[in-house]
Amino acid sequence: MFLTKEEEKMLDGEYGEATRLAMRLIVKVGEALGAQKLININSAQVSGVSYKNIGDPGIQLLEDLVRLGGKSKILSTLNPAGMDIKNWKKMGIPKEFAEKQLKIISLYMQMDILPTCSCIPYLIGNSPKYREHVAWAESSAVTYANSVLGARTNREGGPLALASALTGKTAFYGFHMEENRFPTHYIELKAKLRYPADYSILGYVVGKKIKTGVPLFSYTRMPPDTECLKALSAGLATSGSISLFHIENYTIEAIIKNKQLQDGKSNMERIIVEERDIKPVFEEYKLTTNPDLIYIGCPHASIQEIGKIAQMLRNRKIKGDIEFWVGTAANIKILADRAGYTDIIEKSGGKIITDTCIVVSPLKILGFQKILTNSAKACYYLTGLEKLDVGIATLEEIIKTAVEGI
Amino acid sequence: MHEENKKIVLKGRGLVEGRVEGKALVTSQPISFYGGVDPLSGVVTERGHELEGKAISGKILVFPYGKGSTVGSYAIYHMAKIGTAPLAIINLESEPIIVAGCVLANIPLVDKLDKDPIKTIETGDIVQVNGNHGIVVILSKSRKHKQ
Repeated sequence: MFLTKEEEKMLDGEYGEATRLAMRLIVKVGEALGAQKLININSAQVSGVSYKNIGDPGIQLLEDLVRLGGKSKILSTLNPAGMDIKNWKKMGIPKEFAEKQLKIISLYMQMDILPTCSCIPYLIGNSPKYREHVAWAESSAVTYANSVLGARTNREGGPLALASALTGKTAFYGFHMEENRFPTHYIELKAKLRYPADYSILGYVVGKKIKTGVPLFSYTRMPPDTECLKALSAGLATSGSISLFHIENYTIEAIIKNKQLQDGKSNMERIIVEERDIKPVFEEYKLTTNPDLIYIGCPHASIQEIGKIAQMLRNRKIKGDIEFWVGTAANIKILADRAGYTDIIEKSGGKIITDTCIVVSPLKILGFQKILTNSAKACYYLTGLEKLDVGIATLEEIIKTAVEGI
Repeated sequence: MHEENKKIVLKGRGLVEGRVEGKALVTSQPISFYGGVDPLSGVVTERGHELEGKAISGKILVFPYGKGSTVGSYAIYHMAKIGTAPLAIINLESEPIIVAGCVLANIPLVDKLDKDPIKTIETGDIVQVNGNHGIVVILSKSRKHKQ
């Protein structure tokens, strides 16, 4: 691999041990993947935050990196943790878990990584622009950054994104290269799609069908808004290893490359998605009795979604046997507090929790068995990894269930 | 135990440096170091895995590639710190989880060999791994290997 003089110095330890180790990690993995050089990046989104996921092995590595003097060189933000950092007691998190979790956050902060603890960095100040190279972990955010923002990132794992934060570098391969960003599949949308839940399932279904590649979705007259794009990104990344999609005449690269796309369309594998591909997923994951937890916010809820939830819950009461959580980033919650949304949701019996989500929090310890959500991603992980009973519905249906029961 | 003294040499890509010699443990199935291996004991815990119940600690571990969560890299690092990690790893083709884990843990790693390591190396063979040059030498074959 070609390295600049500066990069060689980093690898030789001239900038300290942590930089050397992080650089070695990037170079070795880059070599394994056939990269010829490194590139500078402007931001990192670091995963490996929840104590439930990284456990003591993760803490050990972070402690070692802090001891070796690791400091982020670029704008770096954190993925969700295993609990609400402030209100973990209200969530029912055991003290031992909380102590380890707080330690992890503190170790990242000692490396100058911002404790955003969110999976939507792009809505809270880490928002790369078209053609900007970044190194992100968190598969839904990777897909959103590549597809909606037109930024360039591979799907990094926990340690690699951290190494990129500590060096400001990543290996030049995969989605950093223009030629790998051209669509491989044309997805003709014949299904009616309205809500984030619909797009979440669309992503899930397409990801399951094509597994890998770059899908190009046909133009629709009611194109998806930010919330739907966020849901689509998460769905696609969950069932497949998809990290980039385009929508005809809608997403930035599809607009810019429209002529090439139209010319190349006949060579793409064609897949038709109809109503009958989407509906059965809602049917398959349907609860027959009341959930003990309702969760909105996978990926984290935007301020607009929280406003909508507040509007729907105003002057209504959530059933006593149902916990109702909206998961979001801490700074979005501050805005929700100010806007009066938090008050309305809390008066109905719901909670806004921050810094975490149900995929990475220790749900089993908290005793939840039956969950209702509008996210195919949450559903996939909770039924697969945790063997919980999970239902999927649109936000409108979920609110109805919360208030009236099933 | 019947042993032959003919050395077999496999050449490939050295990804993480280091030279070691030890007993091979071979599987044709991918390994998940997060959830599939107990880091404290070094025993494979994935249900139905060919190596289920076997300890990978101190072995020259031969498998096609890693799978599962990238948290697997942290687990490999942790295992090296507490002494339950494999001595070296030989892959058909390494992916980022295994490469990152081996770099952090300083475990010699070799892949893309000119002979299929999963077919050529058998569990119980005494194997030398040179991660600097990407060379694997089977020093002695163990035809009737004991578990």
